[in-house]
Amino acid sequence: MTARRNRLAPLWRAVLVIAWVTPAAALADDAREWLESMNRALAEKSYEGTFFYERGGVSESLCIHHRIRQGEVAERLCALDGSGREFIRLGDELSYILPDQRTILIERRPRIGGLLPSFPRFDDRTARFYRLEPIQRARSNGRDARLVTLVPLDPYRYGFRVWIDARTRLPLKSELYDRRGQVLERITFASLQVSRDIPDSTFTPGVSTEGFRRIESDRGVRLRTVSDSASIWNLRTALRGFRLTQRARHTLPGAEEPVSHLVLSDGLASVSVFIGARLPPKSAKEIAIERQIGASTAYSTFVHGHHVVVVGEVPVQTAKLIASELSPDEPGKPQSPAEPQRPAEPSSP
Amino acid sequence: MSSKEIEEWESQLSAMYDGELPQAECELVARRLSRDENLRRSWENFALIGAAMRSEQLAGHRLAPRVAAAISGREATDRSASGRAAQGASAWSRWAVPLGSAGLAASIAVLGVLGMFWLGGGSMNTFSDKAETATASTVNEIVIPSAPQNRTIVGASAMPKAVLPAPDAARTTPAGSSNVEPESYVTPPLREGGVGSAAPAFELASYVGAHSAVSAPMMRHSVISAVIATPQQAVAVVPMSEAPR
Repeated sequence: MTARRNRLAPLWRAVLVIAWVTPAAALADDAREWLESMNRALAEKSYEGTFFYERGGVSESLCIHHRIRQGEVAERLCALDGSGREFIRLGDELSYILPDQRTILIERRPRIGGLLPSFPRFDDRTARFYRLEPIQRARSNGRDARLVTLVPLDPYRYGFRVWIDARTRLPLKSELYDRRGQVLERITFASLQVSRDIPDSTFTPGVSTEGFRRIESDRGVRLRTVSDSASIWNLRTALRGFRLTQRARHTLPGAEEPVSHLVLSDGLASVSVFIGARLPPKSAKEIAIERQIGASTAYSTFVHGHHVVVVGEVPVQTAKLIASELSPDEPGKPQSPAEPQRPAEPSSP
Repeated sequence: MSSKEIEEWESQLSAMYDGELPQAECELVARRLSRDENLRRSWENFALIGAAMRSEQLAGHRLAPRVAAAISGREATDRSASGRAAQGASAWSRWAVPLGSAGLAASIAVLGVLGMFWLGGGSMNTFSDKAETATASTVNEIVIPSAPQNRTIVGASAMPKAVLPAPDAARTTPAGSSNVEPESYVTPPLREGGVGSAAPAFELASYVGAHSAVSAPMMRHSVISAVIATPQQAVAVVPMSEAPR
């Protein structure tokens, strides 16, 4: 009897382990599925709403209109307070309307054949850098929601909490927080409606743009310079889970020269690296400049004589690390395995 | 306002009451009502007339003397000429009956919708998974959202006014809305130095805009909102335009 019990003991232990582990793993998978479905809802549904954007003790109200019609995206975000700035995306054209500066910035991006773009996905590799907490049922703004929490496992990324509406799978509230748990940025929706369709008139500036200065990018410049061998830049080493996912070359509004644009992602956060012309800094203070815009970091520096700007929803030390690992490849040298073999265009969601 | 415009207005208001007007157009109608005092007064008065004709309580609302007189006159007319259309009624007067049938709750709720736009933003604390219109059955659910604690409005006065930034030049508004802006709106002053001094912000906004196109959807709103909501002096910090090119 005792011998038999001893033989069965490992089996019971295995059963207990499975019983203990399975629900946790299932809950984590469930949380991952909720994240995926939220991303799909945000990208593929038409919706309108207003939300409060808070950071640094300051809150502003903004509106959002997002429409998918025949595979093409129209989006408008507008500040309802203060500056009255707006961001409008109509297909391949992105516009900033800056009434406080009487200026419109227009960037035309390559058309992606009407297909919705692919986005960073939370996969097994991402799970090495974030802990996905078991999903929690919650209530937000009077709605049945699920709270999904991602805890950063190192100082190179932020944590993320999001309350996802159980019915529409759209976010009701989200928070970005640092390693100490301090909330850096919070978005709280006051209203959010899934719409069948949204009229074209919604995607026009809400203010007069007459007499505004228009700063536009020139699509032709990009096409003429795409074969420039200097555009091949790589990272010397894999960086803490950030993988090179896209590569492109395009011209920003007002710029004379195109920039190389590398996109890195850890599956949640994204980082853009813009590599500009080869010119030395004018002064020492321009060698390294860092700024926070909400929870996003902008880091300007010079690498191998080129002006480099790193932008992403990551701590500044991550942006610095990425900039420090940049290196121009010599013409003819194969690209790193992490990169696509063919230059990929950045998506235009 | 021309008779054609009045007809268009009636059509839009009718559609709004019938629940056939898309949400975005409802907002445009409400905004326009909020801007035009005469139209608003007409709307309010007829809403109240409708309620009064149903003998409902008008808690907190007093009719203007001429409106009260109009009601008395209308009632007398109705009594004396039942079954006949009132003679010489203005184009607006036909709203009295539908408003009356919609009831006080709906009327006051519609005023509440307008009130939200007067308070600025037009935000509604409602969540819906289908397109909603401001019908008599749905507007009752609309409430004015409460602002988060420690909320600070950047660049706006302490009064809950809507802020529109068009400064001095000829103003145009989105398609479908009025060219007339209410006098109570706050216009942020153009900063000293004009556009020249703001140049660095453009470039940072450009970089962030380009980055937002490749961000995950849940991050993208955050990235764009940061640029839109960030004060100019905080955005215009990376002196890209000063950097050599």
